[in-house]
Amino acid sequence: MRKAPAEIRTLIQKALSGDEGACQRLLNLYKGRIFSYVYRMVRNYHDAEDITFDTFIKCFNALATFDTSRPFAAWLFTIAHNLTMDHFRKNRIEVDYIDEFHPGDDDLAGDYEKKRKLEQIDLALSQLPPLDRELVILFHKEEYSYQEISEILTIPVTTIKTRLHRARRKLRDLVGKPKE
Amino acid sequence: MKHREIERLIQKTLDGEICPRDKGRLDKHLAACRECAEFFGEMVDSTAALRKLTEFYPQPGFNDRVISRLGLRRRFAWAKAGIALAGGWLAAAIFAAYSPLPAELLGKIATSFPALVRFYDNAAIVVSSLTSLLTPVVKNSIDATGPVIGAVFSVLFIYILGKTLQKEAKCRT
Repeated sequence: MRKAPAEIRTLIQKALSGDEGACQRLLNLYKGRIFSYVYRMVRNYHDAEDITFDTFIKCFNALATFDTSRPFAAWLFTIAHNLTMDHFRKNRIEVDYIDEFHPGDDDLAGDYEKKRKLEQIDLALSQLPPLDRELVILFHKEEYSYQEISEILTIPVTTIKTRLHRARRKLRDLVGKPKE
Repeated sequence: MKHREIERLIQKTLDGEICPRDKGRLDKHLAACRECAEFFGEMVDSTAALRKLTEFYPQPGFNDRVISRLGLRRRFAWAKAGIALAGGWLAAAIFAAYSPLPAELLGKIATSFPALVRFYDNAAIVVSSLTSLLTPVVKNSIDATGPVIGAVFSVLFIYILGKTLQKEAKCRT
């Protein structure tokens, strides 16, 4: 497993000593990734923000217990995953695709097709079951290995592989034409 | 080769776990089977697009909310209190330099505490010795030295108080 880079370890040490600048830097480095992941899971902007907020509060409060020989981002994803699962358990919400965050109208014409494709992927992603969606995001977007995902989600590698293969196939079917 | 077997190899490719031998078999099949080649292309495209998905961000002010909840902002409140106290100190120093009231109060205190009088006398000897060593320019402007010394001490006071309170705030967080 990859360990936290030296820069991150330094920031963690500074954050532990109460350095606000270090906390701000850690927030800036990871809030986009964590928020995007949570938002794609819960599909509600305010819920995603609340979960991301709680993720960072929990992270900073437990920073002293973080083992710096492990990757910091994976630890954050573990916290975010647990809070997202709590949210699902509490609310039992249906996946609801919100399109207010789609790329704006000021896109260049040449980029239109790319943007459309990405929107299509994002929409297809939202139609996958939550666990499959999570696996696709962690493996393909966040580029975690099977082993790392297994540690984040605490599920066996074999389950991850099987479900990811099925999820990829489903995603391709939702985006393109289904194979006969 | 069956399509099922090909899909297994395609999945292995996307996992980054395909061995050279299987890759050779897959490439050979894809070159001959248009349907599988198309399927492979679509699988690669859809997974590659995932990496380029839009990154979303929370509302502006998110960092401030987190920092405030963590209590790190208390440091600023303490610093402000430090500045206010230092300002008060400076005002008191100027007041002491120009108002006769503190002198009267000092006189009353001195008569109540003889030890203070002795200390004052000793201090006066030191001050007069130092004064005699000062340059004529400073000697001539001796009336202004009170406020100047007060100002210098106030700046030092602000600095030391600020640092102390900063450490205090860090310990609390």
